[in-house]
Amino acid sequence: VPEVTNAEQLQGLVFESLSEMGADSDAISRDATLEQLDIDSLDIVELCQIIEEKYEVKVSPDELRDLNTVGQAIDAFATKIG
Amino acid sequence: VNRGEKDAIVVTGMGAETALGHGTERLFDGWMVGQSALQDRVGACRDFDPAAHLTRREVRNLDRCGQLSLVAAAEAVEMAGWLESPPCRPERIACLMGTALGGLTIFEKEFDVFRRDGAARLSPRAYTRGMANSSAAALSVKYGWRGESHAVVSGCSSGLQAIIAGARLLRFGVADAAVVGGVDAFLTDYFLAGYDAFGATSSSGHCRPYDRSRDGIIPAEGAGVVLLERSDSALARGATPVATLRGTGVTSDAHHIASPHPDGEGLIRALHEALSEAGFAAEDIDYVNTHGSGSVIGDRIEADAVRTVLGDASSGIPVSSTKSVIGHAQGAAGAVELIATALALRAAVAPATVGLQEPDEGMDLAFVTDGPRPLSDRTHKDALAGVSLSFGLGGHNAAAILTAIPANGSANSGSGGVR
Repeated sequence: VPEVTNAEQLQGLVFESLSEMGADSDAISRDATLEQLDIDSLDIVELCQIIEEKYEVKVSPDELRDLNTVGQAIDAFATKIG
Repeated sequence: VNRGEKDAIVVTGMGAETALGHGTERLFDGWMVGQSALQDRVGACRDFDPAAHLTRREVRNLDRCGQLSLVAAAEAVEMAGWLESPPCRPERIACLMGTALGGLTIFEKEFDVFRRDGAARLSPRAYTRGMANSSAAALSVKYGWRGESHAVVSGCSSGLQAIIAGARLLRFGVADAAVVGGVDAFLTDYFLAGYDAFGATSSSGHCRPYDRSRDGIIPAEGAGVVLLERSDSALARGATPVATLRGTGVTSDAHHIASPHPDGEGLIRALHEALSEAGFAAEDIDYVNTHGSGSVIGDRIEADAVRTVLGDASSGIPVSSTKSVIGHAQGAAGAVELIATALALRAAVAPATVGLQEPDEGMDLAFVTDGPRPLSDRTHKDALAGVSLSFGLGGHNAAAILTAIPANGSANSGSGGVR
């Protein structure tokens, strides 16, 4: 059984969370913009809380303010998680 | 409200979510057959399935009040044909939703999170889901209604007061259409216990308005939404008005935070104001839909007030309480009951006060018991006239008078609408 890498696990968690927030599952990809997915500022706060809880890191929504795509958000989280 | 037929304020759409189920038809049909939806001491919207009507995002981002409001509004908008034929520019559509407590149940949950996990784990949506104006805001956002929008908060009369406040915006000329109504949903153990604590709720679990054995209210949840327009513009866009809002009255007891004025002084004034604005005498009223909650004190004060204002004419005016089948839906009640009043007039029949077997001593009104009673146009107005009454904790009183031409067109036949 191939091991799930940390990067895959993080991406899976973000995709799943965005879907849970109401984004269309078929439209979720690294290249999709948060705006396209109708993910608003309150969703971003919640996404940060989910990452914080799972990885025990501190992520401020302010750090994601200038990001456009899902991939950029995942990369920002990955940097935090280290 | 009503100065002339052209600028009369009409109801063009109605929507309701109640313990009897989804939609205004279920409400009226269930009430007609005397089906009580009260179970386990509450009137819960047990069949309400938000996912069947709303997007996943709406279900997730709104509390139950917002969800009930959106679903009720969808029925009203469809009935009025607003999507195909908007009543006016969106900037001229007001949206006022009444509520007693709003989405406070979210804070009950969030306070547990706060104590257990700390501030960092509080939901970023708790505040927006819980705030009293969340239903009005959710409706405005969904439909793009951009006129005046806010919550009307006046306890159990909130729903009717929101409707009257909306009508006044039309009359004052600051809006050309209004989305108005009421909502509440707080049937949690905590809030029910709070209600119990001040002795309002029935211990028997039965809602028996005006009955000798009545012992309190049955808390319920729900939403009622009504669309108001001016008669001339509604007709011009091809709408079929359901009813006309003829007169309104709103007063305050200025007496006690929980008890109504013992003489019903505020309620009496509200009903007088509504009659005066409508230009109606007691004889013109064909039906009274009372607040009738099953409250030991409130029912007596209301019965006396109605008798005082309508006088001897009251012996021929059928009276019934919708709460007898759906319970007391708090801030939704006044809106749902105005809708029930319109439906009764349209059908030319007054459904019964279910559970009322023996009116309490001295309550001298023509209570409808043992099944529906036909309504007749007592003064040949070519329409039936009905009163809807609401009063709330805090001493808030509201009365509205509607007229409607029965759906079969024969206001004078008196029996055509009985199903």
